[in-house]
Amino acid sequence: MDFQTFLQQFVNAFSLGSLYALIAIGYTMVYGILRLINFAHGDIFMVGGYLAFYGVSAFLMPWWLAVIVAIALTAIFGVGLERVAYRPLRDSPRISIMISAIGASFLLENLAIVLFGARPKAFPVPEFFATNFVLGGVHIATVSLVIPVVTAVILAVLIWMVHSTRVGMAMRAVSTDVEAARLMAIDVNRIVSITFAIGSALAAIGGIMWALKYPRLEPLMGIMPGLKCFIAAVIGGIGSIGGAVLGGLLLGIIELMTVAFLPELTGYKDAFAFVLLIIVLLVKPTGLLGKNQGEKV
Amino acid sequence: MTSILQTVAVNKQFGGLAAVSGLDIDVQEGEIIGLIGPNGAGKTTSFNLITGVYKPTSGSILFAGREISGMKPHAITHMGVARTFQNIRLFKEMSVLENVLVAQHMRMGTNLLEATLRLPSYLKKERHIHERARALLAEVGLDHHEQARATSLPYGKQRRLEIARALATEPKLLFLDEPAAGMNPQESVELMDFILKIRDQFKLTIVLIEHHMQVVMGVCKRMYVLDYGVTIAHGTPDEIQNNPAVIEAYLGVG
Amino acid sequence: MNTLKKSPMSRDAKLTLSAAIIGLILLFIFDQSFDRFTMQIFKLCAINIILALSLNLINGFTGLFSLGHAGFMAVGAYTCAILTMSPEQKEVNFILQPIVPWLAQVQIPFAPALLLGGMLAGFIGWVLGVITLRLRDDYLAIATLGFSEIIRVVLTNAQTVTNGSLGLKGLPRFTTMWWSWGMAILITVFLVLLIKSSYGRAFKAIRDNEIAAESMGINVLGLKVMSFTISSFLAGIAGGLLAHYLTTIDPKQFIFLKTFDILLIVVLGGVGSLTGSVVAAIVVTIAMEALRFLDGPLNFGFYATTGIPGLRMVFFSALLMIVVIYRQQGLMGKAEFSWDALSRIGLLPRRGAKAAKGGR
Repeated sequence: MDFQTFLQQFVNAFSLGSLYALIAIGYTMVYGILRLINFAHGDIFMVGGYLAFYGVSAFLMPWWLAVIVAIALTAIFGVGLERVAYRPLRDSPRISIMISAIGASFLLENLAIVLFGARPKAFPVPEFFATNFVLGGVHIATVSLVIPVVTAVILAVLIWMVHSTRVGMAMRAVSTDVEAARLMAIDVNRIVSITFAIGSALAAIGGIMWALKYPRLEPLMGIMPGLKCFIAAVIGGIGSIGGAVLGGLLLGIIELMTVAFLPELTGYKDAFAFVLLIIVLLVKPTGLLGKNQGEKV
Repeated sequence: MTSILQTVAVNKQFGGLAAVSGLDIDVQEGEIIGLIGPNGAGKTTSFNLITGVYKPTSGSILFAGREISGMKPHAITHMGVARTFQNIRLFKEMSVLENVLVAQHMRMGTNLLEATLRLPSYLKKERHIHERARALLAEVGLDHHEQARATSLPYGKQRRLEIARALATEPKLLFLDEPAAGMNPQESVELMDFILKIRDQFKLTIVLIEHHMQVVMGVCKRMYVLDYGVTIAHGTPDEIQNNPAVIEAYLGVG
Repeated sequence: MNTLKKSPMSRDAKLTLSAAIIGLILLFIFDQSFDRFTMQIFKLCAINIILALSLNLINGFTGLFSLGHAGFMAVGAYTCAILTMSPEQKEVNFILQPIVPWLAQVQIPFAPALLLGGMLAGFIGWVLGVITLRLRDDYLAIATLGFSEIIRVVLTNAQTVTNGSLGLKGLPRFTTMWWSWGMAILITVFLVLLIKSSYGRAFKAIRDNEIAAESMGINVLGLKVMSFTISSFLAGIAGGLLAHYLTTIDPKQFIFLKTFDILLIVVLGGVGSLTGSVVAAIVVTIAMEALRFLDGPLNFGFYATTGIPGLRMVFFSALLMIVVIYRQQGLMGKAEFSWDALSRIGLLPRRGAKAAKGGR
């Protein structure tokens, strides 16, 4: 293939990868704090998308307002989910909390079917994002450029927050050793809620940007991205924000570039993530940037 | 007398921390050896290294002349090494009897077909391990608690169950990790007698981690003293008691 | 059941034998008298019993969290279907691309096909097990889920073998009541014998304390793989039965939702109780049907709606969460049915004066 097509595909791939990265960060933060795979994360992503949609279409808000409201509401929703479905199981075997997460995921999906209808809705994409521009002979959708920029900004903010604020330090403490953190007078419940709020907000941003890129909203839209993004987080090293970004980018690029070079594998696209996962889990289970967590015998 | 266990320059690093350095232990058949030292000295880590739960960073471990470092724990147990755990690891949801029965699965030599079809050969093996389990429970004084859930027993009895379970694997070398923890002086004396008895009755070699000095000094022929992973002293109880380095390690630097 | 006494038939054995005879008579009656619809539900109950028991074997008894059940069902279903379809049926189905030549003429009877389906599923389970069972619970969950998805994607794309997303239609209705319930009973008996054997104790030891189990000489990885392989084999058999019950299969039937349905049954019945799985399988299968009305038009008198699809699953997912949060042990926890238990609650006369040792 010629260089132009390659570049075109690469831009797409990078854009998708940044999207995956954004969602993966939410997963990794929650896992770092609670050792929980929040199966419902992908569905929170879906909720963000729908809230923005209804903001614009039902409440006739200007687009930017709908987005802000959607993100805020989703964050609150995430906190609520944690309170209801996960907090009561804090001291239970890990399997129970995972089952609760799976249940929550299915509940959200089916509630969405009930409330929003199973038929896909067209997401209202504002003028600005629908444009293309040409750079060096390559057509780039504005959306594809906005996404990595947004991801980078958010990443910078998060890294600053985790390393330079007290809340960030508390989050790091809780993810290292909950008991010790509690003894240091850290309000663990508050930190967990904050983590969920941030993670859900990120999922909402991810959902809205996804809807900008692929303007089709449907209740089950969060399943595949959710699963893939969790895998991305694992590949990069679960618990590490940098790892989530690395994993997300890697996954997006591998997915689209492989299909670009070998179009006959398009049908198998979705399986790449899983194959990559199994390879990583076998070779380096803690992920590319992950740390080992042994068990005391 | 032959060396049943030898560790040669065994090291274990966890990241930057040297948990165990230069462990050189030699245990002769039939001996009762003590492993003592302040908390965090690396005693349980040494047990874990020898029984295969951890892999040594370097060094070699020989059991009856064979290199066992790097082998999986169940294979090492199969060779004849058994242990108890510092923080009791009984099978919580199983009964007292089942805990001892399951430790004999390895030696049963049964297969899936024989077991699920309940062939006479399997039933015979089941009878045998049931008898043996009951005998072991009687040995530790738990025969009236067979059906009780393992975790419903009082702490002291749970420790005894752990020992019975370890004995069920038919070991030649037995590691006891703080068997006297939580015992009063009377119970400690009974424990000392018990250790001597099982050593003779089951032809065992025993290595013991203990903080109860009375027990250690009473049954151990020789002791190794660990501090920060390093062996700081080695000798008979008398020699150890008068060793200045040991005293300093326990009481701390002034 | 006390298998140690060699005395003439114990009370337990007599009771079990009587129950078996009564059960067989009931099956005869059902076979004659059930209408088509009831029979369909009844058969599905049996298939779900097999699915729930096989999932409980790994999740409940060996303590491994596997989410890959749907994948093994799919393997069993497709294998059995493809092997039993006649060459004409294959031609009719494979309209996009013809089936690969080496499968085109193959047609074998149901029994061996079912067995082969199970064996292939078991083999794949073995491979997956060897690869992934060293992983910790949450990673294992994702890895098994991932593998299940890989299987589904492969099935969707292997046009010349599986007919891809078009699926296979017109499969012969081999799954009679005798097949479904016969297999269910056989498998239940097998699993009861397995769990009560030394292997069952070893599985439970792995579940309770893996490190201690390994230190007591149990080959933990080996037994985990064994448990996983058996479970996958049984799931494959269930898949084959399902294929010839529905008479049409396609990859979309084996999405994660399918595993979720089985997980729901296992959790409701009690993770770690065979009895719980059997009871829950029957109850949930019937309830899923009975509550289908939730998806349709509802008339509360004062408030009527036209169909709201999804409401039924809202109910079941909420139920799962409520059970796992407020009553983790489900219906039976880890307890099993025993004739003694019935005595204790007064449904049967008590035993004689001699102590009842072992009864479980």
